[in-house]
Amino acid sequence: MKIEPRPPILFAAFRQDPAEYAAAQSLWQSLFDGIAARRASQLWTDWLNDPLRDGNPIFSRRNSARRSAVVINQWLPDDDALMFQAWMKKGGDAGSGVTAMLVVSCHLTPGSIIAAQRLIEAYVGDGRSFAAMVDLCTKAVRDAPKIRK
Amino acid sequence: MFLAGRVMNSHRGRIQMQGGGIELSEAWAAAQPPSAAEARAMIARLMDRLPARERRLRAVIAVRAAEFVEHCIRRGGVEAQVIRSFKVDGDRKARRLDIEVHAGKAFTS
Repeated sequence: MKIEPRPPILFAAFRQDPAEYAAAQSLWQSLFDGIAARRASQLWTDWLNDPLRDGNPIFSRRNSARRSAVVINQWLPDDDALMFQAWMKKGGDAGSGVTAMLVVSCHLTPGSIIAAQRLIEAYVGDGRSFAAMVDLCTKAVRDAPKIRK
Repeated sequence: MFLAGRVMNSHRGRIQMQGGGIELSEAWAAAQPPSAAEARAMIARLMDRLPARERRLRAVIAVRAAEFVEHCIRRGGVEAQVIRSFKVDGDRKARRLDIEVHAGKAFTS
C-alpha cells in the first residue's frame, strides 16, 4: 500500500468559503466542457443538486441522448484517505433519462485532476463502453495514493 | 406506502449498498416523501442483508447516511435530483452507500 504525505489540496476551504466552492466548481466545469466540446452534437446539461454544498457532488452533467452522466464528488482528506476513486454506476430512475454514469470521488489535487480528465476523456470524448470504463476506473484506483491521517 | 413502479407516485428514490461485489437496493415511490424513520428503516434493512464482514466494513457509512437524513429534516428535506455517496474510508473497491432522490422530495419529516 502506497502511503504518501498530504499533497496540496486546491480550494481546501471550499466548504466554508463560497468563493472557493465556486472556483472548484468552475474548474471541473472547464475541464468537462473542454472535453465535451469535441463532440459538439452531444448536449450535456447540469444535473444533480448538492444540498449541503459540501462537494457531494460538486459537479454533474447528464446527456439524455446518450442516457449517460458524469458526477464529481470532491472530498477532503478527513473524508477519505484514498485520494482518488472512480466507479461506474447503473442508473436510476426513468425520469432522469440516465442509465449509466461515471462517478469520480477525489481530493482536488493536480494528480486527481489528471486522473479524472483521462476518465472523462474516455467516457465523454471517446464514448467508451460501460465495461471498458469499469476497467479504466479499476486501473485508475489501483494505483491511487493514500494519505496519512 | 412503498409501491415501486407506480407512475402516479411523485416522490421516488432509492438507497443502495454498492461496491465490493455488493448490489442491494431499497426503493420508494409514494405520494408522500419518505420520512427520516422510513429512511433509517431502509438503511437498517440493507445492513441486515449484508454478509457479516461487509456489515462491519459499512457500519460507519450507515451512521453517516442516517446523519445526513437527520440533517435534511432540519433543513426541510431535499429536492430531486440528488445522488449522495457515503464511501468506506480508504477502500479501493468503492464500497459505499448511495442515497438517491430521483423525483419530488425526501426526508421532510
